[in-house]
This record gives sequence, structure tokens and C-alpha cells, in this order.
Amino acid sequence: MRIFIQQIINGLTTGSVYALIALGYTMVYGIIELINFAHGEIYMIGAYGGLIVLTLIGTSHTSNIGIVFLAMGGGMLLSMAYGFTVEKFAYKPIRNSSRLSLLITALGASIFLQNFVMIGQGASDKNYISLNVLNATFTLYGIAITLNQILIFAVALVIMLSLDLFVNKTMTGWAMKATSQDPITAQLVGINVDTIVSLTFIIGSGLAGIAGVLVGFYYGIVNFSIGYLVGIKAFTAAVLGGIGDLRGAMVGGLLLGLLESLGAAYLSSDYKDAFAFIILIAILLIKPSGLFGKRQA
Amino acid sequence: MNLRTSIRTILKAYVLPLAWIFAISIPIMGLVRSIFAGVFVFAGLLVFNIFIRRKARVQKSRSRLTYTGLSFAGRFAWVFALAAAIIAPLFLNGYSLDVFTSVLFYTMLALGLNLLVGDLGLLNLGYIAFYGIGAYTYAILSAKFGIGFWGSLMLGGIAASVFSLIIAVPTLRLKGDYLAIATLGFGEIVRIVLNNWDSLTNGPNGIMNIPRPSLPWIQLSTGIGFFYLVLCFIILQVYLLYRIKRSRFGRYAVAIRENERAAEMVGINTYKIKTLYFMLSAFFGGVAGVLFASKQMFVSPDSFTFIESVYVLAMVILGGMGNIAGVMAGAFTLVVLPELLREFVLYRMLIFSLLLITMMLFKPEGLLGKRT
Amino acid sequence: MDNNAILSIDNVSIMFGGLKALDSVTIDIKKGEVLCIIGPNGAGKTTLFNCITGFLRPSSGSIVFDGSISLAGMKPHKIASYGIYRSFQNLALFTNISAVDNVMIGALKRTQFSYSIADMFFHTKKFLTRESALRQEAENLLEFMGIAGKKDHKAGELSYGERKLLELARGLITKPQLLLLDEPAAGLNPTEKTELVRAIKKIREQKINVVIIEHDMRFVSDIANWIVVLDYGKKLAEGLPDDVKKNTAVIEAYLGTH
Repeated sequence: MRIFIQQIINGLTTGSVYALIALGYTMVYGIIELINFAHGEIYMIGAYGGLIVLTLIGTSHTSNIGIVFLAMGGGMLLSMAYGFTVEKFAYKPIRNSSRLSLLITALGASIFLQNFVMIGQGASDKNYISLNVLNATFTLYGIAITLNQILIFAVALVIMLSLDLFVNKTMTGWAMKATSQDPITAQLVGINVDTIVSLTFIIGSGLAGIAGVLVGFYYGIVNFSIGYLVGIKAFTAAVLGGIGDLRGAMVGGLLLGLLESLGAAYLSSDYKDAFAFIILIAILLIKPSGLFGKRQA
Repeated sequence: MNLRTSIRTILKAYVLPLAWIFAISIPIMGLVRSIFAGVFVFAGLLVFNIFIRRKARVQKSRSRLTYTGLSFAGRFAWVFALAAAIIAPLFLNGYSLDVFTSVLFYTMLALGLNLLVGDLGLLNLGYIAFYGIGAYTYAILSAKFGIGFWGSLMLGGIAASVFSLIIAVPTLRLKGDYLAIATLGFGEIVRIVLNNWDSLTNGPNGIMNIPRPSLPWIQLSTGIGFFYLVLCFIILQVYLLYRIKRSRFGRYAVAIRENERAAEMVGINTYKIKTLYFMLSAFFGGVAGVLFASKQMFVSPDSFTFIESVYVLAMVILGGMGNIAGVMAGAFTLVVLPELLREFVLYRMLIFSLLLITMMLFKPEGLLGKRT
Repeated sequence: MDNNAILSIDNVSIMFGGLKALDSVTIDIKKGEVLCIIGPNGAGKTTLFNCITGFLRPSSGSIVFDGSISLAGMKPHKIASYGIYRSFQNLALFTNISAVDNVMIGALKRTQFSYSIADMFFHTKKFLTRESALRQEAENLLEFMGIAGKKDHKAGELSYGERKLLELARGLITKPQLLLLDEPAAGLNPTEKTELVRAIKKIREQKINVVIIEHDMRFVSDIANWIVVLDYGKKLAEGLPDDVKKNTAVIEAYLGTH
């Protein structure tokens, strides 16, 4: 039982990260029907953004929790800048060509960003500064939970709630929804579709950037290649919740985190990375519109 | 145009993007490399703006699907290429021969993948899995059951076809994007299984001592002998592919790629044709895998990663989707070019990815592609 | 059920969400006639075609082809293989390949056993003669439609009217028993319309049954033997063209909405 609860906590932690990244996939897919392969790399760039901020600050303030938020801000901004740029330079010029071309471009963008970071930052792992505050552990009935885990969960929750409010309660949010449902009509009623698409990329990338920094603190290391696997898993989470559906992506992310963590504990840890892919194929087989999806894909 | 508007245009079209790229590159790349990045983008924008004007001209083209015989130039090119492939190995050193053998493997793969991507317009991002399945089929059959190369050759292809059904049957009914992502997942699952099923695949260490093929009178264990063996298979493959393309099956594929709904309307069972193509494509991958295993005499999961799938895909795209000669040229270029640019090994993938993106932007049908 | 009917649509209904797009529609299409379905936008005309051709599955009711073949729930390609060909409102051509190849693709199903796999791989005499015969047939049909001059042009390069005729030619090579045309005259200029009427009359002479969805009353009365009026998913009226024109309910459905 203790292991079970511990795995639930670990699963919710990674699940929150998947959810944050899945939101970006789902938003972009909702609006331009593109599987943005480069999104995992945007997450990786966010992790590096946090690292750069930490390096600038130095090692003298390791007990100050404010540093975490500074790093998150840095990661978020850098990811936003890159997400925006990828959309403007790679996707926008060919938005109207075939789906195949778009997908291949996204693939190219993903490989480009990986190698771009590898050249700039080196191929080896880089260490995050270990913050004493985050390592504080609370133990309850033998179940350990770190402040770091609580932080990830809390940040993800706050972000998801605000995003939900933003999309459902603000004019801009409504414009985004309208664009994803019918871009042509949206244009006719005076919505600038280009701006909305850019905004979607910026918001989605920002979330991925924050996720990158959170993971950086959690695992302590970053590498130029971390985006690929996490990206695919987050995409799985988005499909699981029904691609295009924001709340679905959040639930899908948490669910995938739980399934993976429990699967690793009770089935096989060797095949941990395969679970996501098996779930992906299974969900495409059984219910391609996702667990909560209504429309037929 | 007056001075002010032209300055504004230049600012918007060149200076602003350049400054932006420079600024966001600094945190990742540092100052010096960011200047290079800026210059590169500037050059890119120049080319882009020149191309855009060119693109406006629509060219009229005529195309036929029926076999009408090759032109003299076409015949000459094929004969020349074949002669070069036969004569060249006699003058190559061991290393160069290895590179050219590798060209042949990738040619087989790219031609196989082209059946899906080029002919049907379906994206398969896990194609390398079939290569892996073929290679491991031979490795396991020879290590555990003592089945030789010739026996395994067909079995490797068939095994790949059978596995392809697992992924094709559920996903070919879905939209194209889902197929892409499902095949990617399939490819990863295959690699993870190869990596972890120790009792069958020996895990990450791979399987060694795979026998080379043999024939009674001909020496195949040397580099040159093996090269000619693979060359024979490619000649056979190209012949088959051309005959398929110029038959009703070729027309089925074109119809499905161009307009699936209309294809159904004229009575084509699109699902069945797509499945057949998927299996055939996997079959070629599997056969290539058996050949690869027997060349290396060793297989390990490292040879079958996602990036390899992307690489093969890039060959199809570069050469010209659906164009057999183009795909072969694409495979040749993408194997030989990196070997020639050894000094730039760090930038290899960067250049490669930029190539993919620019191809999609300017010439999505490929360098030699006519899309018929 | 009428034994003389090529297609019997019996009590067909289909629901989209809570909306009844088709409400117990019953139509018999008799052999040898040109039947026109008219009605205002959203009356369910194209939905009815989608039901017949298998792109939609009716919620209830039956669609029987040639007296015995039940079509409801069948796959589109299967339905097509019985000799039912349908054109689309906004055309469904293979735009990047030549006109003659477009037509040849239409014959794939009918000629699928005309040569074996071995013939195909070895380019036997049988393969070559069958292929050139097929091409000849396709070219003849383009001639019949009056667009033989454009045979080697890509379908996408043809004018709108020519594309409509090309779609018809592709339909004819399937040797259809029933031809369903979804607003064939929409977007055509008067000369193109005349060309189309001429083509459809020629088709009728070949004893092919034709069903046409159309808005243009003048076009309809020129070629139809029988008219069915749909409105809000229901059959409002049917009859000879002249009778339908005088029907007050029809006039109301058409003019009342304007």
C-alpha cells in the first residue's frame, strides 16, 4: 500500500509535467491541426533557459525559493521566443500546403532545435543547481513527498486553472476558440487569425518552458535530447484526453503519469517507456477521439 | 516607391528578423555563433524573397501514367548508372566500398518507404522498425535454428509484412496524422522490445556471428561479392516497383493519394490497397534488414532508432516523392554527402534538418519529383 | 415496391444530433427515367445522395438497388462496384494527373481481372493490348463528352465546365447503371450548361438511369421525366415537371423562403 501511494505521488508529479506540455500540443492542434513535433524541443529549451538564469545568479542564494520562480520566468520567456519563432519562420509560410509537408517541416524543426542546442550548449548533461529549499522532504506514515513535488503539482494546478479561465472567460480566449472551430468565419468576424495562431504558440510554449524548468529542478540534469521522449509522451497524453480539448489534455497528462508510474512499479520497469506508446496505439485503436472526445476523428 | 516606405520594407523584411534571431540565439549559442546565425538568416531571407516571386509563375505540365517507354536520355542515364555501379567497386578501397554498400541498403529502404510516402502520401515514421525486424529475424533464425541466409531472406520480409499488419489494420482507417504518430510509436516499441527481451535478442548487446551468405560458385563473403549481391536485389526491386507503378496498382495508389473519396466513388477499396502497399513496403524493409544483418554479421537495437526512420524519409523527400530514380538519387546523396563533409560532423544534422524544412517550403515534390 | 424500379428508397430517415435531416423519404427511381430532386438549401438532397452512396448510414429505412440488393450500411466502394456512380457538388477529380488518366482510373474496378499479376510484371502482350484498349476507351469517352482536345492536360488545368464533363466521363467508363449527379449545372455559364444538357441527353439515350439534384428549374424541366421536391428533409411533392411547377406547396417552399 505504501509503495502504491508513493507511486501515485510520483505519477502525479510526472503527470503534471506531461499535462503542461500536452496543453501546448492540444492548443496548436486545435488551431492549425498540426502535430507540432518541435514542441518537445521547446520544453527542452525552457529547461536550458532556467539553467541559464541559475548560472547568472550563481550559487550564493540556494535557500531562497524566489530563485525557482526567476528560473521559471527565464525558461518560460526563452521557450516563448523560440515557439513564436518556429511558427513564424517554419510553419507560417507553408500553412496552406499539404498536411504531409507541414508534418515533415515540424519534424525538421524538431531536429534543428535539438542540434542547435547541442552545438550551443554541448552534447553532455548539464547540472541544475541543487536548491536546499526544494529538497525539503515531508514524511507521513512512511510516504515521502518533497517540496519539489509539491511545487510541480501546485504550479501545474495554478497554470491549468488560469488557462481554463483565460480561454473560457476572456475575449481573447473566445477568439482562440472561434478560430479553432472555424478559421474562415473567425476571419470574417474580424479576428486576426495570424495573431491568434502566434498567441497560441506563445502560450503553449511558455507552459512547456515552465515544465522544462520544473523537471530540471526535479531530476537535476538537462540534456539537448530530453525533449523527444517527453514530447511524444505529452502528445500521447493529449491524444488520451482527446486532442484539441484543453481539459482533456490536463486529465490525460495526469492519467498517463499515473499509468506509467504504476506500470513501472508493478509490471516492468524495463518497459516503462513503452507504456506510453502502447497506450497511444491502444487509444487510437479503440477511441481515436480520446477518452472524453465526442467527435469522431 | 519612396525612400521611407522602402526603408520600412527593408526593416520589416530583413533587419527585424535578423535582429530577432540574433537576440534569441545569444542565450543558447553565445555571441559569436549568434552573429553567424543572424547572417545565415539574412541570406535565407534573400533567397526566400527571390523564390517567392518565382513561385508565382505556374508551369503547365503534362503527365501520363501509362508505360510509354523511356526516352533516349532516360535510357542512357539508367545504363550509365548501372555501369558505374558495376565498375566502380573494382577501383574502390575498403572504406569507400563500405560507404557504397551502405548507399545500397538505404536505397532499398528508401524505395520501400517511397511506396507509402511517395505513392500513397501516407507518412510512416517508424519504417526502420521493419528493417530491424528483418535483421533480427535472420539473426535469431541463424543463431537459434541454424537457418541460413537464403532461407531467412524471404522469412525476414514476410515477418516484417506480418508485423506491419499489426499497425496497419487499426491505423490505416484513421486520418494521416494519426498514422504518422502511430507508426512512430510502433517503431519505438519495437526498439524497446529488442532492447529488453534479453532471452531472445540478447538486449542492448545485440547478436553476433551472423553468417554471411554463400553461393556454391561465387564468393559472397568479400566486400565486392556482397556489393554485387545487394546490387542484384536492387535491380530486381526497381524492376518490380516500375512494373507495379505502370500497372493498375500504380493507378490505385495515385487515385487514393489524389482524392480518396473519389477513389471510393469509382469502386476502389482504398483500405485494402493501402494495407497491401503497407505490407509490400514493410516486406522490402525486412529483406533489406536481412541483407544488412548478413553484411554487419552483427545486429543491435542501436541501428534502428527513430532518427534512422527520419533519415530514410528524408531520402524519399529529397529525391522526389513517388519518383523511383529520384528516390535512388536521394539515398545516394544523403549517404555520400555526409561522408564527404566529415569535418562538419557537428553541423551535419543541423544542415540536414534545414534541408528538410527548405525542401518543404520551396519544392515539396522533391528535386526530381513530378508527383505522378 | 415497384419491380420496375432501379432504386427504391423506402422510408429513409437520418438524424444529426436532434435534427432530422431526412424524414421518412420514399422515392422510387424507375428504369430509364431521368429523375430530378429539387428543393431549397438544406432540404436534405445531398444527404440523400450520401445515404445512397454509403458515406452516411441512414438511421432507419431501406435502400434497395435493382430489386434485391440492400445498400444501407454498405461501404462506398462496395456500392460503387454495383454500378452506382456519383458526382460531387464541388467536384472530386484527381487534379494532378491528366484528364485521360482520370477517366482510366474510373475503369479500374470493372477491369480488375483483365490481366494477371504475372502479365503485369512481364508486360505480356495481353497486358499491353488491354492497357492500350483501356486508354482508347477513355479517349473515346472524352471525345463523347467533347473534351478530347484536353486529354493530356492535368485535370486541375481544365475549366470548371470541362471538369464537370470530365467527372461525367470518368463516371461513364465505370459502365454505371445509375448515375447520381449533385448540382451538375451549378457554377456553369450558359454555353457550358447547354453542353451539359446535351451530354446528359446522350447519356440517357444509352439507357443509363440518371438522378440529378438541381436548383435551376429551367435546367430541370429541360431534361427531367420526373421531379421530386424535398423540403426540410421531407418529400413535399412529386410528379411530372409541368405538374410540379404548378404545385402551390412547391411554389411556397421556393418563393416563401426568399
